[in-house]
Amino acid sequence: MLRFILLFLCSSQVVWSNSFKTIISKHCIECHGGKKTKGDVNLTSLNSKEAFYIYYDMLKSVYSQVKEGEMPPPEDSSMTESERKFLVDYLSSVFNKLENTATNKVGPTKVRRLTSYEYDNTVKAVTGLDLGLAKNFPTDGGGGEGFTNDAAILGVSPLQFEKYLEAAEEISSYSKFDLKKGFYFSQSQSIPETRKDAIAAIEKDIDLLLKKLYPKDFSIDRYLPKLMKAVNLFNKGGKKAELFNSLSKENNINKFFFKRGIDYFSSSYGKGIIERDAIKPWFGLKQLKYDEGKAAEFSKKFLEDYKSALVKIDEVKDIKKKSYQDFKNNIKSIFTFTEKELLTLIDKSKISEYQKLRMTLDFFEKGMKSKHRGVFAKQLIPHIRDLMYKAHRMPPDEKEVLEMTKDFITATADFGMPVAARMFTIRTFASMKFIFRHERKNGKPRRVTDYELANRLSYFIWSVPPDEELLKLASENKLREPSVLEKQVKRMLKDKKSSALAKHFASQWLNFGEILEHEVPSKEKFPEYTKELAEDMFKESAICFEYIVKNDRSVLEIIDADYTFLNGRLKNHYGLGGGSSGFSKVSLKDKKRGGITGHASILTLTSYPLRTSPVLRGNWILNSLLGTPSPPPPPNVPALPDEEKVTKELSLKKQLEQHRKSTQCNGCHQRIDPIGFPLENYDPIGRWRKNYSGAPIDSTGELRDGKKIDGQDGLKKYLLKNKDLFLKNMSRKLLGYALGRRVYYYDFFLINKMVDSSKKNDYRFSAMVWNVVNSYQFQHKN
Amino acid sequence: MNKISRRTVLRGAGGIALGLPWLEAMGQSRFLNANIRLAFLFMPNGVNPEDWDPKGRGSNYTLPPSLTPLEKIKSEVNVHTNLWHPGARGGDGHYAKTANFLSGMTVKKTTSDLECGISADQVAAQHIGQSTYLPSIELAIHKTRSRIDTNVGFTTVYGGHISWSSPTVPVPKEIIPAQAFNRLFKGAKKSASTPAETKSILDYIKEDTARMKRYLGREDSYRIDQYFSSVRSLERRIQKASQDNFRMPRDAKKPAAGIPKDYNDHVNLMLDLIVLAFQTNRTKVASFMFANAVSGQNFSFVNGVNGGHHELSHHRDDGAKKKMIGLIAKYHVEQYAKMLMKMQAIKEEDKTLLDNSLILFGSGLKDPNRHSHNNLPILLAGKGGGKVKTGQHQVHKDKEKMNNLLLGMLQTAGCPLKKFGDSDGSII
Repeated sequence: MLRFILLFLCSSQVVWSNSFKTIISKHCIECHGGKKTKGDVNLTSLNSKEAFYIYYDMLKSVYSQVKEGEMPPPEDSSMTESERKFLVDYLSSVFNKLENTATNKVGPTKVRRLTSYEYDNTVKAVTGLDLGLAKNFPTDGGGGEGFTNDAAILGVSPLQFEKYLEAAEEISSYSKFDLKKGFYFSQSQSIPETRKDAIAAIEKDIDLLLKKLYPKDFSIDRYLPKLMKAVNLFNKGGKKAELFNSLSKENNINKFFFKRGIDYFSSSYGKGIIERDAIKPWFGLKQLKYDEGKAAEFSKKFLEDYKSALVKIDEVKDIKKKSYQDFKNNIKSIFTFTEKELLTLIDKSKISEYQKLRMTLDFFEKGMKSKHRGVFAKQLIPHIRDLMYKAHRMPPDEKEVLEMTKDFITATADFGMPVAARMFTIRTFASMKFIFRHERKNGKPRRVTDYELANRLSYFIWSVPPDEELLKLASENKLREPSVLEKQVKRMLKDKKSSALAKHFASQWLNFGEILEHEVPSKEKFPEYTKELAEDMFKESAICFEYIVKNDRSVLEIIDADYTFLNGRLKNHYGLGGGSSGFSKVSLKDKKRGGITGHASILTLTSYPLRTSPVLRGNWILNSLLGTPSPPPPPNVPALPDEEKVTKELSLKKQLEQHRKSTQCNGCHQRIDPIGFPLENYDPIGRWRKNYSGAPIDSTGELRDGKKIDGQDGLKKYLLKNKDLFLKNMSRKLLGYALGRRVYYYDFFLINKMVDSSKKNDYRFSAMVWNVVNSYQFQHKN
Repeated sequence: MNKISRRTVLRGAGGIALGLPWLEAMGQSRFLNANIRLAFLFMPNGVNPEDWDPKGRGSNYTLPPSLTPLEKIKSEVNVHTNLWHPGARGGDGHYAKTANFLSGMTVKKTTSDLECGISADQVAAQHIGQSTYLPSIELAIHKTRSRIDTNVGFTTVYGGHISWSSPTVPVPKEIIPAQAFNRLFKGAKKSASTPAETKSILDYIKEDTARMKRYLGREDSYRIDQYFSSVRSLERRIQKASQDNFRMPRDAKKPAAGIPKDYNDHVNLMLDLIVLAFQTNRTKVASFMFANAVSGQNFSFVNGVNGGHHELSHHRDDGAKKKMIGLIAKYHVEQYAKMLMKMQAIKEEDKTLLDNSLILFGSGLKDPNRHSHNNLPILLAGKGGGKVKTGQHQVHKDKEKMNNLLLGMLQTAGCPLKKFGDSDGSII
């Protein structure tokens, strides 16, 4: 009936324990395996050797509850102490074997979408602009070991993709591109480069003679009458070559312009112009050959017609429009150098450079000449490669660069270069290789490349793409050398960017990040609790952690420290005086503050709107600091008092004690409450208090074994005494954060190593980090 | 001030400015058969059963305290009694009874590799949502909480999502009203790219995504598929945008940017957006979460209530707290009723928008103190185009499956389904 085979395989050794089976069958199966599987614990699942691996988490929880006397339920259990001891010892030996066997298991290495904060940081690293675009993205959920960077949770939905595309469009509005500088980004909303800019570049770059060729004050207004006058004189004078030269010189008219002017005004002017209104005064004149007064009059009228034609181009339609356009173009063409003319004017040494630039003008137009494609591609490739390198955070695949270039050229032919550049920018920022942290597949576990390592490292410690130094080491394949790697880890931890660990790792691990959106405290009872104060609370916790990271201090200072960081408002809140709004290090004389259990952030987060909750506080310590959570309370528990009912006669503590007498609650609350009570000296927003509802505070908690924890001071001592649990929990969280996944049983070997190494290195934070970075898991990819 | 002119909207929508009322454009027969709108409104933390369960059955019943806001619209609503999701057994008290509110599947206990079930609204989106600009919208008031609940071993992602497009993929919800408006009426937002350029960009991104297939391993192929289908879905919408024409009601306003400070304002803005989306036929399917599972939303602004929702919900049979839970449920029903009355005031030929809709309201818990999920509090309004008899207190047999009602809704809306999840029948 009850199939209950217990095998345990360790290396080559199978451990079989009949006694274990007997005890479990006798005391546990009734609720956890037969018809019932309370709390989702089914002990009949342990029917194969793999089961111990598969149900590792469940067994851990079974272990801790049996050990703590929470299970079997004390009120109706006949389990003897020796049976309990056997179970605890046996499971403990099982875990020892599981956790202390070095396994080269990488674990899942799923592709990881950038979290919202990583997205913003990465955009900033690529563009240099702090745009904060992720504020409109859907919130990332928490997963794995409790962090938003858990790969399994980071999915993509249509809504999300739309936001990525919108964000990429916005990024592209700040992006500029030209063939000399490539892609660059500027805070001001930029206008995409135009054809005019390219001409300007030509003028500037080859110091083109254009400026010399056109008089300084060149304008058609001034130049046209001058030219018409000269043409008239030239015609009247018999069209002699000497006259051409002298007139050109006297009137300072460029010879090329003069020549075209003569052609235009002397022969077929007006040809093709159907709209007579614009040209009436001179229409029908075959040649300019008048006396000066008449010529001046004609040229004046002509100029007026020219100007009114310019205005009318936008107003008229179809064939009329074309005639005006032709008119305008004809006049303009008089004053434009042809390619050939320019080449005769330009300094010989500059000719080839000019030709190249000239060609780029072509790129601005749709329908690029196919003969130019090759030249264009050559100029494009380095720029495309460069943007891809930055956006992908590693050297791009060359084949991919070529494909992108091809697409860019096609887009240029279709839409012109500025649009093609914008499209490429949008594509780059909305494609998977930007949105995800990617590593190439391999089929079987392999060591990550140096570039991949640089990325893992940088996103772990800084939450940003690798910087130049890391990329340089990666390009030389040196990063993986342990001595180099260790030096880099030290450098990175000292760098101010490592504050990301406080902002994203510690704030999620210890939950103090939630204070920023915490609106629970009653506004009526605690008007002092404002958004600003909440931000200060966050800062105290974050800066303390930052301080440990940057100065490589003992992580035990998270529990107890003789300093903290405060600003005036928070000092005032703590009754330590006041001061400016800036944060500075404050030395502490007593144990009230210093250490996370004295931070207003945590004390507030673990309170109800009107009163404190020793249960929430104790639960937080068990979960976040010691890593030994209790199961959730069963539904339908008897009543606990409201604030108003807490009187002198029956303090909250007394009532909780009564509540604990209910054996159903006893198991867990014997563990939770004694470590919550020592914090009773802090009110629901973390202020120190001596009395509550008129009665002095009793801040002692009594543990199951009768030992007492007295106040904050006693609590800190208790936590330090249990530092192994703390170190193990912190190591587990740090590893989960670094790998972006939950930890599995095979990770505990490494976690234990982290704890050992931490102890041997004065609990310095860098020891923990180094063990993560130097681990098999961190340096391998499935 | 904030009024957005019809011209602006129409100009934006692919540059096509058809002023036709959508009725004419839709054609009558389609309108009658398949233009049913579905909305699913979720409230966390349960109700006070004593204030919820009506006395009497059929059309002969009186409204209990939490349902009194339905007074004026009673004839358009059905109260459903005795529904439950057997799959919500076990797990925990909240997460395992929220993520599956619209699917009835058992929620996998995990902090990472999510598994639940595809939700009714997303099934509807796949069937009837394909004819509209957006297949569905998912709105909410609060962000999903970013943590894991170590006491129960679930990620809070479960508590933040009732819409699931596949058993492993929760659909993110929009909580910013202006963003939701922009998404519905895309024309309001300018884009520098022309339609032709956007089309090319999306083609490029699809190429890049396809290239990832060769680059990443099989382990990640589901992510690539997700990305691909997300791009496709946008493409589809852009095509739709050029075909669609809709008339923006004169009084429609674009909500101000940002998240409203006031909870009540926020809720009403979001519910109005659903009505507007249905009225303009931009989508036929909507889901809405008044709050996430285990929400501690402070309801002290409701007369007679003092405290946070979840804390109060564990009332431990304290009479005063139970009353407050009843009042909080009443507040929710009141917002629901307001929404229904707005829909009733909108005419569609000889019917009303409400007549052509099915609007579900409910919670995944009954008595929150016991985390009980039997006999769920469920309301369903609208006549589903004339197929549903309303004004009833429908007392089903004990432990009738809630999925049977969800299936009934889907079928009434024109989804060609015979079964939904663990359904063993169909009711409406």
